[in-house]
Amino acid sequence: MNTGFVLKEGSKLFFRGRRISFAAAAIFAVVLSIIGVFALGTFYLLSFKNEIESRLEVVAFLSPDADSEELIGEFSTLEGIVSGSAVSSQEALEEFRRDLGEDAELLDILDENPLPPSIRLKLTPEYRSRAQLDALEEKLLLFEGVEEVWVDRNLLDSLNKFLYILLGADAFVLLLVGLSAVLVTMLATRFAILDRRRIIDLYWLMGVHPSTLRAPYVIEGLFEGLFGSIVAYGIVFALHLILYSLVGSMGFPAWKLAAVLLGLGLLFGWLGSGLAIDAFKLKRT
Amino acid sequence: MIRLEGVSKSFAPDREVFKEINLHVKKGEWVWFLGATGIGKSVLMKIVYGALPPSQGKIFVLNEDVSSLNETALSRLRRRMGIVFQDIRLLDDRPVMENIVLILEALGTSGREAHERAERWLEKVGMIDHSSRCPYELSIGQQQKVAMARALAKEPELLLLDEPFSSLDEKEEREVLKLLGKINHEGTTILAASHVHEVLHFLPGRVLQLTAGGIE
Repeated sequence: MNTGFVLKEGSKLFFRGRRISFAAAAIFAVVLSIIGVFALGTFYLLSFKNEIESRLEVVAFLSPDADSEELIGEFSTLEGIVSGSAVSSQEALEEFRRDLGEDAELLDILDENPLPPSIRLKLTPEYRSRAQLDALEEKLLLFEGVEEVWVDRNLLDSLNKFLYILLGADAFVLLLVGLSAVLVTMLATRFAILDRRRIIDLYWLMGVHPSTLRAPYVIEGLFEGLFGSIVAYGIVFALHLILYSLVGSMGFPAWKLAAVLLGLGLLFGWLGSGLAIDAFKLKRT
Repeated sequence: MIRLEGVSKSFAPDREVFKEINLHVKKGEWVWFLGATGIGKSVLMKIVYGALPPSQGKIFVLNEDVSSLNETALSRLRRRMGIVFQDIRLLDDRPVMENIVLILEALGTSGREAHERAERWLEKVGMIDHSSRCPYELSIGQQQKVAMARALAKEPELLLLDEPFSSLDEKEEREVLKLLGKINHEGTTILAASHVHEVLHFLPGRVLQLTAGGIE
């Protein structure tokens, strides 16, 4: 295959008055913008999820005579534990009183404080899964002085469910708009081939290698994807700036998003043009 | 160089073009197919360069069995051929020079060499002064000469000419024949098809008459 010729012809196909190429690139920009907005939304929601997850605590309830400081020291040797803080029975009762608010008077009828002392443990991110928490609970229960371990599994389950729904929605959108992008490129390539059928036939009769004949159309598809992804990145970035001005400090996954949009743009461009070319037969009869 | 073994062609059971053609063209030979319009000369040429499959028989060109070649192998074979088509097939919207350079570049020749070769062959066929004009600005005869320059610029081992003189005047015909004679003398095999009998008077090479039954 003649690489120089292929690149030259491919860029000519895209740049020289092929309105269909620019239309395809524009559709790419729309499609990739939708994907970009979803990716950005997913990024924000994942950050939010991580923030909630970071508040997840494991609470080890202790016997009244247990030495909480000593136990914190021992717990800190366990894998997955970032830090621990001791909460005395009295502190727990005060906290409970605050939580009850106006109903706190109800506690006055108690003769003695029923709440046990406890240690609240913060976990490393990789230990915020059900399986790891189950294992950690078993380990904690083995310590002398630990009577019960409590984990907010409901929160964890809800967060995981939320994550699956989010990723499912992302996959659905990616599939749907991705398919449309591939179809658009296929059509654009078909039109370009039909438009140039005469010159393709001539090249073919003159002995030009089949891959040299076909490759410029793949280059054209890649150009469409490239331009679409650049425009889409601009649109998503502008949207982020608007959100930033409304909501305030928000992270922006600049390089990750650029890589995703560029990668998808090139992939869709390559797939669409490749499929159109596969269907294109050189005349033998 | 070219071997046709029992080659027949029909487009339908009742539309037989020719049958059982046997022919052997040696390297460096110049062979003419002569015959009336519609007798099948162009069909035979198309079979030789693999644009049409024979209905029957085998055809070997440059030691390759043409009908068994895949796309890539066929393109390699055609790269070794220069073809002047009956319908000329120039790109109307590209200047004469670009018509030749584009093909050469697509075949892998560098831009500079492609320009040099195009200039050289346009000079030889007497069309260098028209190199920046588009084909639609030229007469059919001039277009035929450009098509010839395009075929020759490939520096082929085998030159196929389908009605190469149909629109040339006598003077132009002589000039082109002289050029082709020189190329043939240098070793290029030529297979030409024509319905113009007058060219025979000053033609070198073997002349075969294509009739409804085959070759005579």
